Amino acid sequence: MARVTLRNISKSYGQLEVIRDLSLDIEDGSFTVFVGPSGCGKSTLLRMIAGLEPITGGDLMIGGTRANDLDPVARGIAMVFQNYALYPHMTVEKNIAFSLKMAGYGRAEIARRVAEAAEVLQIGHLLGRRPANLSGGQRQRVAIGRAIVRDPAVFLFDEPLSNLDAELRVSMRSEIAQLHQRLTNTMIYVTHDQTEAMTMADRIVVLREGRIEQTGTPQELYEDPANAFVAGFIGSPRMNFLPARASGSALELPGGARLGCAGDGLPRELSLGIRPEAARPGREGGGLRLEMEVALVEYLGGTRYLHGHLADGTAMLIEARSAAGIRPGDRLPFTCPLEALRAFAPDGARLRSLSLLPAEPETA
Amino acid sequence: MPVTPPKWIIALVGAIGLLWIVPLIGVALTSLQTPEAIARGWWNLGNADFTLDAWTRVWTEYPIAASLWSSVKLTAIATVLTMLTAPAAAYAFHYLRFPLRRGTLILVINAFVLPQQVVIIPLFQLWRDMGLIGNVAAVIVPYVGLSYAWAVFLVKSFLEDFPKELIEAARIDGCGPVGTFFRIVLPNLVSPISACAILQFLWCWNSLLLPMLFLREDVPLTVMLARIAGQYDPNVNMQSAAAIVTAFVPLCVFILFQKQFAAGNQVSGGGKE
Amino acid sequence: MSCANSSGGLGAMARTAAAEPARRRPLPDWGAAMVLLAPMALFFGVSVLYPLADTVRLSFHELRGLGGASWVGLGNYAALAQDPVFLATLWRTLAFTLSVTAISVGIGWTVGLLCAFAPRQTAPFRLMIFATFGISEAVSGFIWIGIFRPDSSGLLNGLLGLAGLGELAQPWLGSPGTAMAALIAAASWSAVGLPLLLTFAAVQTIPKSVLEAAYIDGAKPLATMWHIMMPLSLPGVRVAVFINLVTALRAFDIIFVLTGGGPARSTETVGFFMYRVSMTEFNLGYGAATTVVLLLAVMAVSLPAVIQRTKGAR
Repeated sequence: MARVTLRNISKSYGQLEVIRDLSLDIEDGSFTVFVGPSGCGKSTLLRMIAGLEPITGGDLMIGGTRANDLDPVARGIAMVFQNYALYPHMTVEKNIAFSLKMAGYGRAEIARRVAEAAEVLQIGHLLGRRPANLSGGQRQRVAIGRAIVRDPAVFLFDEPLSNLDAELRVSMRSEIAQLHQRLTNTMIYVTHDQTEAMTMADRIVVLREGRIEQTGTPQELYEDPANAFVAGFIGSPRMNFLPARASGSALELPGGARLGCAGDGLPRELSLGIRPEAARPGREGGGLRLEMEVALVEYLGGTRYLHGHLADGTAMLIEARSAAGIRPGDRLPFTCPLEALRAFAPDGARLRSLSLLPAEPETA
Repeated sequence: MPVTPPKWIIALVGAIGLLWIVPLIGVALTSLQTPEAIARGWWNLGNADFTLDAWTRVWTEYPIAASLWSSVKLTAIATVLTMLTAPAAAYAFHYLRFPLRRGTLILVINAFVLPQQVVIIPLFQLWRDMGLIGNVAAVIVPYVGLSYAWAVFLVKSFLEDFPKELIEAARIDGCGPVGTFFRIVLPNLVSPISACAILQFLWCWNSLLLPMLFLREDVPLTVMLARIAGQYDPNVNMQSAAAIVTAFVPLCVFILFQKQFAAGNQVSGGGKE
Repeated sequence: MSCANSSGGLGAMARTAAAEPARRRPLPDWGAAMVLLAPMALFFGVSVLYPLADTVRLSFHELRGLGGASWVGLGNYAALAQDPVFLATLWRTLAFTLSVTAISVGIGWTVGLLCAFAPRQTAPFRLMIFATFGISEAVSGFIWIGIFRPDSSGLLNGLLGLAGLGELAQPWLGSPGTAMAALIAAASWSAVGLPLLLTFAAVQTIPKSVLEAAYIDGAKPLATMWHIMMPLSLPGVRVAVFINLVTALRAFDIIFVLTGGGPARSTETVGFFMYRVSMTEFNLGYGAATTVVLLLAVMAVSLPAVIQRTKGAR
């Protein structure tokens, strides 16, 4: 078990700098998820922690020692690969035992630990098989078995669920989360899927273009995003962004809606974020009042997603749990409580200084 | 796999690589010595005596130009014939249905087990009776005939991944089987045919036994080299120059077309000769 | 070519259906097969089928030079079985074939695996080893004559002298004891290229993540080679073993140039014996029987490949 600290880490391929001056503290025993769009550097970061990519600059500390130049075993890490990377010519048992054999353990000790790992993952009946004769889910378990058998200080997962079908992904997700509760090792998990991040993580690190956009618990990221990128990336369906114009103590919104506002140094143009699940169809409820033209109704059983646009053409998606009878082409009024709105500057930065007020009584 | 390759690996492979070209460097340097320096042992660099003498005289001393022309002629004709006939045969075996098809195919692709030695007695008698000893055809016919075992196999392996829809579309468009071969299949066979060409080129150029037995004058470079290397001749420097000339063309072809060569060898898998 | 010729272009399309150019009927499959296979059949028949049949036929005959052939049944084979020179040649062929294959595949395999750790850095060295494969056996033979020259003009003797081991210098190709070793060295030198090539290609197909997993699992380079790369490159190496076995078994060119089978026939293998008997002594029936023995040996070695090809022939 170990704490992982990245201090001013950078990574370049020749002239191309993909990660720059990145610092991060990963608590001992935490389940930390690196999430971000493809090409954000999350896998590179994980591979640097693993020892599969050289670190160009900065310090990597694992368990208090500098690990930049250690090989993976000395770092005390184990890794689960996206494509599982099982040894195709070895049985499941030999796959799991390989690292122990390399470490020079005795036959009895290896057998004991393999059996233990197999039991945790319920793959005891597969031990004699070759990877080619396993299903995707079984391969995934073997890959995890190969990692846990070493009892490493840090587990690394590189998009381990992306090759599984949707149903299996959901069940493996909860299994990995349970595994973490049981083993309590530090786990670092890379994914591009924000749902995986939200459901599994103690802490999420959102990355973009080699930089950390925000670090925090799933709830912090969802409720208090540091910028428009995080706000848009976390949460599904995506947050809606409405253009707004600040004039004096009022905000003008598409379709003539207005809000009062107060704050220092506000930009003239800004955007307001509304999560689909925060909007309420109808005219009841206070806060922001808007109207959208519905273009498409997605019925999902328990809920509905209404796609459409505001008067100025801004795309809008809201969730409606009870709005039977709405059809494409309808004009639908909806409201949103002010505390659910998030304001962002044109460069995406969160405008924390802005406080929103109910619209002043109609003057015009 | 370590992040940075261990240095000892590069050093070891480097040492073996250098060891492997010592004979080549040796022959190259020998061609730059005088016969006297060679006799003294030029390896001891004190005895070395560098000169381009061998390279200026070798062209007149040995029939290099004639042999080079002979090598080019034999190799080019045999290679082109294989390139033309093997794909047609592979296409027929793969797409057409006719009696004894599978039996014939099995016979052809398994002919790779035949050592060249099997050919020489019967063909020697046949060419002698037909008066063909000394004629280029005496060498070209077995060059081409022995190439099918791997050439047909190689092209047919490629055709196994060729989209069948294209053949069916051509048929629906009213194209007959022969036309389909020339218009649809052949233009898409560039990569296996070039692999065939490389293999056939190298094999023919480097052959010794068949041209040695079936040709008299106008022998290719390999036969000329074998003849001068066999006789007692102190001009080792000129022999070395001749050896370099002999090896030069196939070596260049080989290095330039490594990829096709590798692919061809992997697919045909059964080797050749 | 049986494709309908649409030379009419747009003009033709404007005409009525009745004026459409007459279409030739496409050939039936068997007819097209005749056309396409005819050239191959000619070459293949003359240089494979006929010689094969004729060699087998001749092996049952007594035939010397230009004289007529007389039927001797299994006489040639019986004579071979009692010919001490031929029996010695058989053993020598076995030793030569196994040595050359073991040495060339051993080195090629090892170097191929080592190169996988540093594909870029080792590329030039790989080419150096690999290049010998593009050099004909005739040229290789000549090059190695230069190395084994008897006096101090030979590279090996010269290097031994430089290393202060002058007393070890000897006429390598001149004594039966060392000539075979010299031949094996030369043949192995030129045979390493293919196993290297096929091993390296096979190792390149191992997913990178599998090798990374081995690294994460704590396998050092040698352990990775032994436990992961060797088993996974086996299919490619198997092909190389097979090709090198067959090549060594039928060797002729390199023996002819390097040693001429000598001294005292100490470097003659079956492939060379056959040549000497039939092409210099013109004992054609006996030579044909030798050839059949060689053919059977090659077929035995090739059996797995033959089975595989026959099964795959669809």
